[in-house]
Amino acid sequence: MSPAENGLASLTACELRRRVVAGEVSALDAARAHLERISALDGRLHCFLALNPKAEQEARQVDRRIRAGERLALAGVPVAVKDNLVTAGLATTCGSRILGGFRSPTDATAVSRLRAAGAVVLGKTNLDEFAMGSSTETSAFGPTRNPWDPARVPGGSSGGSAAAVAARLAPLALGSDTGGSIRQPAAFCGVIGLKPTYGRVSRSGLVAYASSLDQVGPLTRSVADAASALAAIAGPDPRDATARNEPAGDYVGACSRGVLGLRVGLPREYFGAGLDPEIERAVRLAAAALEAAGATLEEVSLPHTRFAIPTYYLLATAEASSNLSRYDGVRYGERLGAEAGLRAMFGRTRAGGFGAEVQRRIMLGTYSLSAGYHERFHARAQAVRTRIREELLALLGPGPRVLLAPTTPTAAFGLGEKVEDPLQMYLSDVYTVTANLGGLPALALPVGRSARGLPLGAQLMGPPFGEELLFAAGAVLERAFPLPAPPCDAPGFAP
Amino acid sequence: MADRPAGGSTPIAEVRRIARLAGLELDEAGIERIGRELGSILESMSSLDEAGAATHDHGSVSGAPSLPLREDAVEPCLGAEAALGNAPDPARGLFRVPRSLDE
Repeated sequence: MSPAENGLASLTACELRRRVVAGEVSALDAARAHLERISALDGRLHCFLALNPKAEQEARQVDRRIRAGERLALAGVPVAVKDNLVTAGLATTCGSRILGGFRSPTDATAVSRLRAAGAVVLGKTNLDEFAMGSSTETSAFGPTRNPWDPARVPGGSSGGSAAAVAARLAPLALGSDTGGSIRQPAAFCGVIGLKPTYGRVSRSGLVAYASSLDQVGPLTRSVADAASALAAIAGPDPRDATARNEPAGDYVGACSRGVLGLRVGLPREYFGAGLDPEIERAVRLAAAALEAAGATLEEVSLPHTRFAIPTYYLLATAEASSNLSRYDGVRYGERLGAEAGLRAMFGRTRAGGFGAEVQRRIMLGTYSLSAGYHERFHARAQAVRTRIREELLALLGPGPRVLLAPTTPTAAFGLGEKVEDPLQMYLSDVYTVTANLGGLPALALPVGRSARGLPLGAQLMGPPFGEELLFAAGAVLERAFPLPAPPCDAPGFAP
Repeated sequence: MADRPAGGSTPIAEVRRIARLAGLELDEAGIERIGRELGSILESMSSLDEAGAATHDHGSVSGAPSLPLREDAVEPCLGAEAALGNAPDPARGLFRVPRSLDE
């Protein structure tokens, strides 16, 4: 059977897990099916930066655990891991040259929890350098291609994870979302992407970009898979003081709960100038589908939305300028210019190791924090962030309420189309950054295709720790707007 | 508040100061490029002036008051060998760097 015909790689994580637990297939079968498909297709997509050489060995171990009677929530489910989550024994690059050769002694908490639940790590996926980008084009190792059109970007920064899931190279991937980095690539690649509530999932082992905004979450091809993955990785963690104690909800059960009585707000600021009419139509059809299933629609307003992009970029880059100060050639990674003294070593290591976008963001963040500019830029952005969060919370309670909006203003754009214009690239995050600024959960999912055949995405935003509402509404939309597999198997599909 | 041009490039001397603070040794071409980019980015960020939010009204975010605390107990740590495992120039259980006292 050719990789393209291999039935195991087309299954959702839940169905694959069911077959593994029932003994119909082994975890090793599942891992091999996906590794063969990666071998056949990743040359044209470039989703992976590294494969796990022990994947088959680890799959055999899962099979032994199943035979020993362990009940594993993700038994034998192959998983791809964004390469800014550390993995014991595998290199972690963050898509950057500055970390060259870095190997973590430990797994990120989200990764160790997936392994404990029986998942098998296939490899590490491509991303924009240090998660700073919206296309994977800032990766030091070259961009990932969109499985729907190789001339287009998969989105970013979790573009490798989204493309891998869309192309059936893995049923489940981990990503991180600081300003839309799970949801935007999910929209561009036609998959499900969840940014959990800030504090729902431990950030331990996630290489920090902007610590008050970063959150780890799953990318999948079904809402139930995202629910299963969140159930496995959610919860407090002694290694991350911001991981909250709130008990995990019944996420899988929520997928069959329906939306009767749910109030769905459509923020008018998300449907204005700049939104592709095809996406607006798709999102309004999605709203109609929720209404037909028993939800109540209402137009709402979030007036501070127009300040979200400057607020996000000022705060995220300020935090990045601090977080990335640790890359100086002393404790890990590349070292340049040591012969010229300590200060020169710091400066040359960082100038030579970081790419242009990371340098740009470090400079912007340093500027906004520096004497003379802090009050005008950083302090004001903090104040506006508070306003944005207050507006969102006012609309989302008392429940049950969610917001429905486009995920992106356009479908996937072309490779090279925005890479020379940072401001245009930043604007592609215009609908996603608000959930991060508010610390809210948000679920992105496909709700149609454009005339060119590209996926079109919507997102649901909920109250803090309201992921169950998102899964309930997402499952309704998933049934209403099924998406076929992308054409990346076709012989003519080539960069 | 320091003055900043309304548009165009950020002054070269200012870019050099920020690069020094950021620990980035940029060449002249890099300084000029980032000066141009920062100018246009900061101009667009200036729209926050219209937000009307007072800079003193920001508080904690993301529900910080109820963050969980772990037990205050001694636990095994990473260990020197693992901590040094990725160092470019480890020596005698330490991170070796160029001498800095004469700089």
